[in-house]
Amino acid sequence: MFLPYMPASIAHTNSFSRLRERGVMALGVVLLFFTALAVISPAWAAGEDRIAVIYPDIGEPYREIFTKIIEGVEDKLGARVASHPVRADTDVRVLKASLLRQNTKVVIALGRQGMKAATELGGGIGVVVGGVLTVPENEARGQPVVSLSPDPALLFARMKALMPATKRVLVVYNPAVNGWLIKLAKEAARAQGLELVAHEAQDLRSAVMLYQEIFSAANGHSDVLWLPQDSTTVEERSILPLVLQESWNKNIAVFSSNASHARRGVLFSLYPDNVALGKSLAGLAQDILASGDYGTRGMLPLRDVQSVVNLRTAKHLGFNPGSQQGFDTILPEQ
Amino acid sequence: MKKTFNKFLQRLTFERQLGITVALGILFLALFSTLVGSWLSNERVRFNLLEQGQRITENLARQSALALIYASADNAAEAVNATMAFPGVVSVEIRDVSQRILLTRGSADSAEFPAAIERANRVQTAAVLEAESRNAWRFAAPVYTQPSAESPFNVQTAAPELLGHVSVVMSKAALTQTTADIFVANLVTSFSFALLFLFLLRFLTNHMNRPLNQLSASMARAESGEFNVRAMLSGPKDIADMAHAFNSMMSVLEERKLDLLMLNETLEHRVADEAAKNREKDHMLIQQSRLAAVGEMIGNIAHQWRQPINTLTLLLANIKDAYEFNELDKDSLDRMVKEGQMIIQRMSTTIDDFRNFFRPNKEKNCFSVNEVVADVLRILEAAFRNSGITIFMKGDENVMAYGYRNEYSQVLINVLVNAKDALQERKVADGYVHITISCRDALSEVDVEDNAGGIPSDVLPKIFDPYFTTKEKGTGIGLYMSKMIIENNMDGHITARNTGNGARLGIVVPSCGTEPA
Repeated sequence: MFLPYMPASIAHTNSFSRLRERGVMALGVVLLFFTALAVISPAWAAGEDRIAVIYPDIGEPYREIFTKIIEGVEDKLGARVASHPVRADTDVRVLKASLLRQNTKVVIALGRQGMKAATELGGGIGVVVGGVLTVPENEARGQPVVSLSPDPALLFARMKALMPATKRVLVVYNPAVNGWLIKLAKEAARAQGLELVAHEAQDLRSAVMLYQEIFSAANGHSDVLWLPQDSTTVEERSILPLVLQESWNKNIAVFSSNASHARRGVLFSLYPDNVALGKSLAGLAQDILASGDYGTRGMLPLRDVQSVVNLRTAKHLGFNPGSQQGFDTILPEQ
Repeated sequence: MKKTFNKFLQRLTFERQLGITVALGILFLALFSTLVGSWLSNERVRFNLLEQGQRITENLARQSALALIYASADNAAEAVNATMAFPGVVSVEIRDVSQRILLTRGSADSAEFPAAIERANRVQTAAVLEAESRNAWRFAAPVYTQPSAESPFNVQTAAPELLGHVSVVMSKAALTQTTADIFVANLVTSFSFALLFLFLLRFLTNHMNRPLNQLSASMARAESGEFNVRAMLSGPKDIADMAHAFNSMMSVLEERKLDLLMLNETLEHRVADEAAKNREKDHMLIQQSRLAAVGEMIGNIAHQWRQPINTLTLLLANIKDAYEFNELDKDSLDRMVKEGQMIIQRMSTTIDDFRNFFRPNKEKNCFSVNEVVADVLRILEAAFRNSGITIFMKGDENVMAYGYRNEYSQVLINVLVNAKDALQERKVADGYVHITISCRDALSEVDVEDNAGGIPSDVLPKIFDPYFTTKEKGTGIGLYMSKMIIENNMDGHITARNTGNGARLGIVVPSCGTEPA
């Protein structure tokens, strides 16, 4: 199952510099707060052009993820941001009226429900979408959509750093879900001097057959397998166990766009840095505010990532990634 | 058939009919409840087995996904073994989307069901009863990929993918066996309760009927004539009331019966008393009749003697005159004495005649009716002559009768005196009496007819009743005694009827020669 949040145990392994940065930012927020108090006019109530967040009104463990993203947005904006939880039965007209009353110009729509509400707002309010895996092309082309799928360039760079002998990256993907990502992946692979062998699979059974073909022909020294965020081709109950079993048996390195996969046995994974993602989304929103135009539209890969490595798998594959590799989380936990 | 049934019912008591009806009703109810209960249980078991089959099939479908994804029967072996371990499961089959068999296990009769698994079911993982034969059910369920967990990050949700189908054939043996077991259990239970209820009902019926039967037995004993029959005052109130009423009725009945017995016992004495009274009355009648006869005799003697006494008086006067005129000589005296003696002799004869006439006969004899009529007329001649009544006589000669002669004579006297009295009372100027003597058909008959105007119609039926009389100084005994003499003593009969100007009395007695040997 896809779990893009960072476990608390992993979060505790953040570097000291990051803590310091957060401390400075917190101090800044406190200063801004007292400044606002001094003029008895908080920034969000001053009638300026506004950025608001619409996020799904949902329970844990997802709520924490959206909270972190919003925290990042507020960090970036340097002020508290109006956050509107939405549900399936939320009246969008009431929401829009509230947003207009607050002079909102751009909303950062998080998650499926947030995106759905934002797209129903209509014109007059800019939208930046985040916190979704992938969006159909026709829905994504109207605004920037920052995916939760890590940028293949980051994946390949990390993989190349770990396994310089790698020649080919094998992937089975569903074009309806990750077609846009594979386009980027091809370019990223080329940039890394790699060959991306992408197999299209429309359904589970064809994916299984493709994996079986891959494992029957793959070379553990030069080939690696990439598991993108795809519920069809990387089905958690049936395909993932096969992939992990076969890759282990054939010493084929597997990397993933899902943090939980590393815990189950893939070599490494990149996963969202939610606070940083919030900042990126806030930056996009600010750009729209500043330019009055969307600029970049469509699907954007996730560049704000953290990494996790499974040393047991690495050891099985015959190498030992050192601390210089800069993984945010190392498994098994010490 | 209906007649036979009705006859059968008629031979049974009401209690037995009621018992048979109730017993049949309860047994029918037990059978009906058994059938209904078994049917409901069968439906419930069938429903449960179908539900169980669907669950088993759905579980197998869920556990067959990997096997179908990898086209590897080994992946489903454990699930299939677990499925086959369920009681009643006889075969299992897993097919891919192209209906190719991935795995089959068990020994279902392939001819019972269609070869392909029906694809009509489109509800994910829901199993259905796809086909049913006489001995088995075949459940089928589609096998889909497991849907991914709901995530707020997924905008596109992948639809579950159909991987194939599984089918499970379950035998109906369990249903058949369970149905039979339930039916037997229901039957035993229902009939046990029915029998228990019948025994209880029988006990209660006996308990309730006992007072009624006792009352009925008491009634039967009473009907057979038994005395001192009393019913026990027990049982329900209404029956106790009936018993009390019966006892009261029996008390009254027995009291009346005792009264009747006492009455019967005293009846003989009362009859004897009445008979004695009647005899005394008859004796008195006879005495009165005799006194009347004596009166009649004296009257007739007086009539008979008046002429001789006058003659004697004239003779004595003639003797005195002859002596005073000295005309009395010996010859004339002798002649007059002789004449006087002759007169006295006739008077003496008259007395003898009357004495003989009124002396009752001891036994029946043959006598001449003509002589009796002549004797009676000789006695009554003077009285009739003095009354100016003419007597005419005609008929057969030498008519003989059998009976008591003197009593017969007394009857004739009574009849003739009544005619004379009627003629005198009505002062008929040319009064007459016709006496007709005849004999026919071994019967002698004497008719006495007068012209006194007849007997009034309201009097006629009563003239022979005792003490009935129309005369100022009558006793009402004469005709009554006459009827007794003729009809009771002489086996004849006496009748009276009116003629044109008078009345006719007929006296019929058996003629001589008809006497018993």
